[in-house]
Amino acid sequence: MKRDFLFTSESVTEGHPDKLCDQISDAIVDAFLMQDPYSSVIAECAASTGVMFVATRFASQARVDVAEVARRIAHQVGYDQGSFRARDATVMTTFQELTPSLYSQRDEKTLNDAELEQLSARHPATVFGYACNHTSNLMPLPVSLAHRLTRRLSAVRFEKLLPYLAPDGQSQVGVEFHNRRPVRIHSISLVASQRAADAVDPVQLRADLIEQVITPAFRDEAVRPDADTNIWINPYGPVIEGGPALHAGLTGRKNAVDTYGEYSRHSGSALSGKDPSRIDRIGAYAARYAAKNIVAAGLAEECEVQLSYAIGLSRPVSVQVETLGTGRIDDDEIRRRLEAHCDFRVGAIISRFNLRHLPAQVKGGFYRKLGAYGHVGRTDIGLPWEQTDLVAAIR
Amino acid sequence: MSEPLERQPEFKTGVKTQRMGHAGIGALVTVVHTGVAGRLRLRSALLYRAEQHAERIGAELALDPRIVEVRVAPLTGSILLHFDAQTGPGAMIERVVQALSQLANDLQTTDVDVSVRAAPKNNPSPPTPLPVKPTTVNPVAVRPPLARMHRISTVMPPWHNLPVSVAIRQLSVDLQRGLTLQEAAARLLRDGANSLPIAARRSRLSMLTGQFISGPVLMLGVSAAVSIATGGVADAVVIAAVVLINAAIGYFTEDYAERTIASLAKLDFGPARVLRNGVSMNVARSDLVAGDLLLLAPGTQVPADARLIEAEHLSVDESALTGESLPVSKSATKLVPTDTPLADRQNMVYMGTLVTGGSARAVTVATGDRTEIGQIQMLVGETRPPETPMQRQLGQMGTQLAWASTAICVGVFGIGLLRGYGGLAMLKSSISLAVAAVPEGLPTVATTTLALGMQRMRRRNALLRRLDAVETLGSVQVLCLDKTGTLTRNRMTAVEIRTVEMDVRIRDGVFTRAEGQRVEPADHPVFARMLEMVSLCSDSDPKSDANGSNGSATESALIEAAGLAGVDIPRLRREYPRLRTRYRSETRHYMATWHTSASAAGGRVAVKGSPEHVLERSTFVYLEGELVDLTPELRVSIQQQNEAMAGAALRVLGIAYAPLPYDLTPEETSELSLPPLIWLGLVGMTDPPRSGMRELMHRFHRAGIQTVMITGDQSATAYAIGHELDLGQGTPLQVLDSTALERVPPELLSALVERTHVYSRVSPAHKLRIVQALQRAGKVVAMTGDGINDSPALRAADIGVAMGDGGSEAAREVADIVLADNNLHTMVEAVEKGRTIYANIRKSIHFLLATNLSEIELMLAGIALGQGEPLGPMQLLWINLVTDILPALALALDPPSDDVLSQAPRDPAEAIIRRADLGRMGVESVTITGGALAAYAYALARYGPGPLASTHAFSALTLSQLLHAYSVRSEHSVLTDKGLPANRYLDVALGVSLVAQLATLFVPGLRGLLGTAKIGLIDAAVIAGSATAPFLLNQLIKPGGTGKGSKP
Repeated sequence: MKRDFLFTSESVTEGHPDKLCDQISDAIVDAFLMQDPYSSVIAECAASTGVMFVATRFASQARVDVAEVARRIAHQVGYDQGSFRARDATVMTTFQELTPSLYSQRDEKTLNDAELEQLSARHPATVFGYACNHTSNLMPLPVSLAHRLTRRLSAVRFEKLLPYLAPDGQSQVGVEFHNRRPVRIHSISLVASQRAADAVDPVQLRADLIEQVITPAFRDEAVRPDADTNIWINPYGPVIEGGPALHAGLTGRKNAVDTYGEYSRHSGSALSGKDPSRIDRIGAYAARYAAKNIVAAGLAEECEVQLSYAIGLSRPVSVQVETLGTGRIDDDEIRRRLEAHCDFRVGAIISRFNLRHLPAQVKGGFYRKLGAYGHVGRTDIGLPWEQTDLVAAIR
Repeated sequence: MSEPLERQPEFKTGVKTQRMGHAGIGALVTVVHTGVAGRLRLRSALLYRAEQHAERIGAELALDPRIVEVRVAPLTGSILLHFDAQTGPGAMIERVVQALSQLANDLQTTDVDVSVRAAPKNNPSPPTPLPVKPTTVNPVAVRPPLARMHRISTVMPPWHNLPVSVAIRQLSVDLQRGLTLQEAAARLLRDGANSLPIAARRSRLSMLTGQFISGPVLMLGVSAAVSIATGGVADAVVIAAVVLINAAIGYFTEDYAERTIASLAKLDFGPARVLRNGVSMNVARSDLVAGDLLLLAPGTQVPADARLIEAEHLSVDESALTGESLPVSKSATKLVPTDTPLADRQNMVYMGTLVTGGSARAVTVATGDRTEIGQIQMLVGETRPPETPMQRQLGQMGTQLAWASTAICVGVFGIGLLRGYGGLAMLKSSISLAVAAVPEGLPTVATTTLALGMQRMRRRNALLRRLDAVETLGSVQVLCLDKTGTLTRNRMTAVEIRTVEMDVRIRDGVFTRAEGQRVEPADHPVFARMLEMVSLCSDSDPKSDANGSNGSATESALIEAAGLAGVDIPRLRREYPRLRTRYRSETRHYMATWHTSASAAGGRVAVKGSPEHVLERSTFVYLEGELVDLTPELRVSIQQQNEAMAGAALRVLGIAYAPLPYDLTPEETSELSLPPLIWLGLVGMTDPPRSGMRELMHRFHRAGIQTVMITGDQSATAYAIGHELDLGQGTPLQVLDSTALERVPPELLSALVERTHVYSRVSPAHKLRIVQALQRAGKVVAMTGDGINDSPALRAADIGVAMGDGGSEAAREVADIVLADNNLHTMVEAVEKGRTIYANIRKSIHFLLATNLSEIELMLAGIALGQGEPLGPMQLLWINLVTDILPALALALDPPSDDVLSQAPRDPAEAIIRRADLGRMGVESVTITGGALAAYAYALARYGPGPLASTHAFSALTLSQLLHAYSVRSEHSVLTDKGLPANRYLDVALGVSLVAQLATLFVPGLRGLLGTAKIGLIDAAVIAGSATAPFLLNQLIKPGGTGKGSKP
């Protein structure tokens, strides 16, 4: 077990093409679930110069104007000038209707135990959840800081403090660990795109970003950049426009940004664009829920929970708890307590987290908000899997 | 809207400007001056420059006892009244208004703004002339016989370089009123009619003489001369008869073909709209003269060369003149240098071009053959329809074959001489062989077949406008279909209205909520206001029915809904007279109208258009009777409403409005920006697909034709319809949604179009791009269209299909096929006919070549083997007559086989006769020759050389050839081919030929002429056998026994 090391994690703004596609995919999921909570929908999106491809497979009563959703998201993110414009973009949509009989049409909350057993996983999945005590929200520090930076980068654009910024942006934070505790910030790198070449010069940009983005982001942090911290701003020169015009985006390519910044293991499956019946998505949420509650209950300082599902079974075939030596009690004991108090069956997860009805209940859609800045560890929106209501039971 | 209707006119004396509100009357009359008691000066647009009207009003007013004196001045349109001072001016004004209203009614003006208004403060200029409802005035048709002789010199001033005022002066015409009727008639006399020189068709005489001036006829002439010289007068007579018969048949078929082709759906365009005598009227195009003021509207063809005076967003498709495929924008105010090329003269419009958008007023500068297009046509000379690719191919092939055959005939002559046969006899034989066997006139086969096919298509209401469209029909791979009007009936009905507070359905004229309770629109102010705004922001008349273009169908549906809700539309429009309109365009996705109000309620801006765009411009909304800000949550919920409606395949429009300051003038509304709007709601309209469309799509798919739908609707609507019609053919439906297709790189677009089934949110300008992208991807594209903006796409497509009924003139002009009854099913029939005609031409040529080859081979074999001539010269000519003409014609009329629409389209690059075909023809001719040779050999063996032997060869060959006509009907064995329908014509033709052939054996006179002899029963059996054997053999060597039908 390494005690002293350097770890880096990255995050991207919501204007990054990959994240744009994630948000579009999830907005489509929202749109379907809002009209018909029993929809089954898988949406994939690819964005390139001037063209967006959206492939939707669905079995649903809902009727959604997918092209309009894609444009709306692109517009909200800020793509309304330059060569990729939401209004003008060509959207190629492919639709495939699936047979609804294969999918559940009843509210999982109303199913009894036997029926829940019947609701099996339809995809193989090994998912991981992680929690640690770096932050108050029990998330690893590097990715948490990276998110703060990109959020701030986006905020200064929306608030017009730095109006020359374009939606695309990226951050990376390197944190030095001593005895597995974060002690200093080794490096920070920011890539910010600007609307036009003459909008700002690099020197001014650097000064602005340090003053308006980096400094405010770290203001309330225990670990802050010091005089030796390397700060790189646009190390390869100015990025003009950015976005899909510069590099293509695809749903599901920022898994690490969506989860733990690679600090822990994570599943290779994309999280965005899938409806609640997909265990490769909701399992990750359940695993996070488990890990967070374990750490919150004080059973360990950091904890990784692994769930493995096989096609045809509703229960996971494997539940593993790994506390990396920080467990107060034996890992097996923790696992037993977990399994005793937490139902990891597909239907149980859907009903516990109310995954089908959240889009209709949350203003502006639910899953769309997960499309940027992480599916887990969020402090800005209330997520069901971030609740620590299991603590009392497993302590 | 429930303001008091009656208000006493109030005014102050001595003050010029005042406003009088009088319910239901508008700017019919403007009060100029009422200062002095007993004197009144008014001005009216109706009288402006209208002597007759002025006289009439003057006379009428003079009759009024209260009036002392009346003076009406048409020059300014003003009326000066001296009247009894006891009477108030108000009463006088009323009298004048009454008289003018009566006049207006008589002119059938319904849209006249009949309010009384004070003169604007600052200008003494006359008010703009009112829009008068069109009356069709037929000017006196003066058509002097020799008008054409008076050619005005073609040295014309460079109109595009002259300012409008100068042009007007040059042409001596009044800018506001146009020519007077007398002046127009005089100029017609002077300049001649405005018509283009019609190319003279080939005269009948030249067609007849053409029959006699050809190689074969000349050769036969030589042969006849030789016969006469050698004393064979009978022979010469026969030759002459043959020539005459051939000539007659040739003349009749060619004449028929020419007539049919010349009648290729000629369109005559409707009348032109001009301003004469201050009144806009319809005038026959040929009656236009220089100086006429043209009023141009979208969808019309420009009737003469003209200089623009004023143009509003005018765009013109000039491809007929310049070849430029996209419409060009025109502007009246630009002056361009004298040497500017035609395509860049932005302030001119030319005869023969099509107005695709906007409107304009222009002064005619040239008519008839003095126009640009007239000049071009004079240069071109006699116009014949261009040769189709197939005709060209056949022409080339025919020439090559003719040379080859002639060479062989010369060879036969030579070998005959070598073999020791008499020179003269060989000469006659060779000439007859040449005449019979050399395939001349292959293109004629094609032409005749095409003409016959075209007639049959016309009977099915598919009017062809270009000959080569028939060929292209057989190779169409993609059919691009317009949604509105083609796949649907374009009869919109409003079925759903949603405001932020209410969801209302409209069924059978009744408004109900989703739950079922009835809704009275009058009880819900927002709802009522929405319908009122919709009525104001529409051009449609409540009384007219929907016809043709998108705009009016949508508006008719809206007006209908408003009417159902009890809105009194004419009255509403009178209460809120329209000041200005901004129409929907490529860059503006909504229509906005500015209205003033007779009452103090103030004016309105009414907006309707694409929901996102109207919502974007709305800032407020009524919630529970209060005007509140449109919060983001409300916006989202409105967007969701829109999506839900679009997802139900409705066309959705957003409606909003804003109040305007009271007392706004037209000038003030000319600023373009919209005020922040109050959102009212969404209207959803359905335009259901025509019946049977889904099955029709399946038929196209089975024929190997991909169907693609193009629509301006949102993608959810487009998807719903695409799904209903199964355009994806079972595969996932691909929808391409774009408002800016021009920003997609061409290679990417070409790749995308190959997979796309539906295009949504597409504007007409993009149709051209889609067609071009498909063609770049190597497809043969057919496109349907009926709107004025479709002409570039229709022209670019390999087959442009226009709807005959209700489509625009422009579309029908450029299309290759016009479906006269708007029935898309006819398109499938057209494809079927196209493929069949092509196949039939193939069959005819196949037949002709195989049989002609067999004749050559037989002669060659016989002479080369030293067995005498199997066929005499007369017999050869007989074969030419009997076997070449009737069967070939009958084959051209072969009906379509059952599976012609179950096969893939033909490859357009494929030659009509391929190498493989030539090979097969050779083999078949050999079998036929073999059979005839066998009969000949038998006869030689039994009877020795002489007429009897030659009779055997003659009869066997002819019968064999006749049977071959059946054989060519299919690629597969005709005995087992199940999909081959009967061809009555062929049966009859072959029957007649058979009878004729039997006649040669039994009629003594004929026997003598042709040199045949009587045969016995066994001989007959041998002949029959040697005619049927090749037929059977030819079936056996065809590919794949039991295939169905004939592959083209």
